[in-house]
Amino acid sequence: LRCCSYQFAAAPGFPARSTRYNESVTSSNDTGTSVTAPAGTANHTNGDGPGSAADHRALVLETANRVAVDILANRTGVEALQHIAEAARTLAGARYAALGVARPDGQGLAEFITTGLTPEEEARMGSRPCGKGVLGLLLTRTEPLRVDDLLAHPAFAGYPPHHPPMRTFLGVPIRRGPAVLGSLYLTDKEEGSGGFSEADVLAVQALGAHAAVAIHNLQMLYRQRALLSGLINAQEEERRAVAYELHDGLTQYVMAAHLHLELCRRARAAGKDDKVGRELDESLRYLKEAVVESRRLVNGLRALALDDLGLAGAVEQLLQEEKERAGWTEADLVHNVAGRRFDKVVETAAFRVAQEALTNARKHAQGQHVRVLLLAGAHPATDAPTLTLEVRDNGVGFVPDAVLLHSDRGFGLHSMSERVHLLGGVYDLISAPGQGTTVRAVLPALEPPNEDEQENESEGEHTGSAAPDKDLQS
Amino acid sequence: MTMIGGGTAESGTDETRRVSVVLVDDHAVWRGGVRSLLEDTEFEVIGEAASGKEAVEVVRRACPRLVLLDIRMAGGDGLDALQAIKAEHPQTAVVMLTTYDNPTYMARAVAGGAAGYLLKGLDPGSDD
Repeated sequence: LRCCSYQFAAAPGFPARSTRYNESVTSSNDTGTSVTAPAGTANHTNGDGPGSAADHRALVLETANRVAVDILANRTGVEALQHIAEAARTLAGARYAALGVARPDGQGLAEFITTGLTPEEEARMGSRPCGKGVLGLLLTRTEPLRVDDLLAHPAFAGYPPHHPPMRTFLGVPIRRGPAVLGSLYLTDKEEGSGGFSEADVLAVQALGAHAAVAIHNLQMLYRQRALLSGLINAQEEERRAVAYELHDGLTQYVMAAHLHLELCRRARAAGKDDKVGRELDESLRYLKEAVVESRRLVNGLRALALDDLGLAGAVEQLLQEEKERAGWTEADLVHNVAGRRFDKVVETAAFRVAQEALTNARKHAQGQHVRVLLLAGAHPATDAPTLTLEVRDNGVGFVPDAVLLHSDRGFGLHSMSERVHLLGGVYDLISAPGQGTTVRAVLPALEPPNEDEQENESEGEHTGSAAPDKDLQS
Repeated sequence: MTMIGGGTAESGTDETRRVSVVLVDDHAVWRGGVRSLLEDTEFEVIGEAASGKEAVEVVRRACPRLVLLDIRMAGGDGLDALQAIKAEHPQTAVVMLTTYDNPTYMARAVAGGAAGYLLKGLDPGSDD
């Protein structure tokens, strides 16, 4: 009798992805807390008797429950998936189990996690499947697939080298709504039975729902990581750009001014009056350039216009600048927020989204008309005040999913949506080839914090220019 | 400018002749300043270049006795240009210029055959 103990690793040092779990009670795997499955574990694999069916249901429930707890526990996504695969293998009495996570674009597998293989088998097999053959078939199906002889299946594409032979097969798609997120695969129903049963299908399906949650978590994790690394890269890139601008611009002008002043002093000492004047003029010219350059640099770093002109004024200025650079024939701003101030985070978010959207329109849209809407309103359901920013162009448009997934440009689009979502807003990107592009952000129209705080903050920084209303009230 | 490196610049072998110089820097503003600085001195600027690559060309044509070569330039690394110039014209003295006092650059420049090393910018010694 084989004892199928089911092991839960509570410690973070969970074993490597593919381990032959618990072939016997003497398993040397001791990285986690071992929990033996309840009585009936051994029977269910071949039992159809009335007692064992009830036991089986209880076991399925308990396993599903444990898997849910496991997903909630502080684990990396991959470990949770590993546990689900192992639970499915144990429940269905399979020799091998795997869990494949579909790539977000549906083209093949992003992750493939196996259990039941020995480390040696795992090492011999080398690379993981990419999602062709029967495994790929599962990614396009919404119903389970049960096969008694895998080799005879029309989609069977042959085993890769060193793959252990497998015969019986059960594949259960992991779905979230209509989308197939991946599949649970089980092979080689253990002895005493011809193949996987309907009860096995139901048991594995019960875990599939949990797997959907775990995969969703994993995808969120990957997305956050990608965003974070994108942010870090962007920050470094920006610093490098600032360093270059300082070196190439401001520093050069100041050094040149210094040099000409030095020459001016020498000329004076030598009594060459005409040269004194000439060098002094040069010095002043370069100092003036330095001031212009430093203003330009500061403006690029911080949207000073936002402080001075408010959101509508800053967006208007931005729009005009971009219009000039892009050569658009028409660029309009329609707004109802004249003189109105919002919380700084809302203003900054709206401004940066407008900036990104307009930059994209200039670089990629090849359109002639751009319209920006900036409207204060109210949420239709909650009546909470909202601020809607919309940037629309009549350019060539694009397929949003394709750009979001594959190009560098995706980062800018992600960062816009991330900014909006961070504030609890709603972000929409509507585009299609030949249809132009609309970026819409609906933000909660938070009011500025209490005035004393803001006054203190603005005092001494932008004398007399920012928010004159406040000064009048104080 | 502040002379930092050891000077083996081959200037003044013939007291009566002015020392021909090629200025290499990607900032025209700076080249203009140095040109003014060298007016009425024993140095004569006979060529300018805005990148390392261009410097190799200009030096090949002009055969100066001295090259003032910026280390970091947008259009190519000055240290690469140093190597190429020294390989083609071992007799030409190359003095490296930089805005930042960086010992690594200094060591690389000297190892690459530079005669010296000049720190651009605000020379405290000239203030008194």
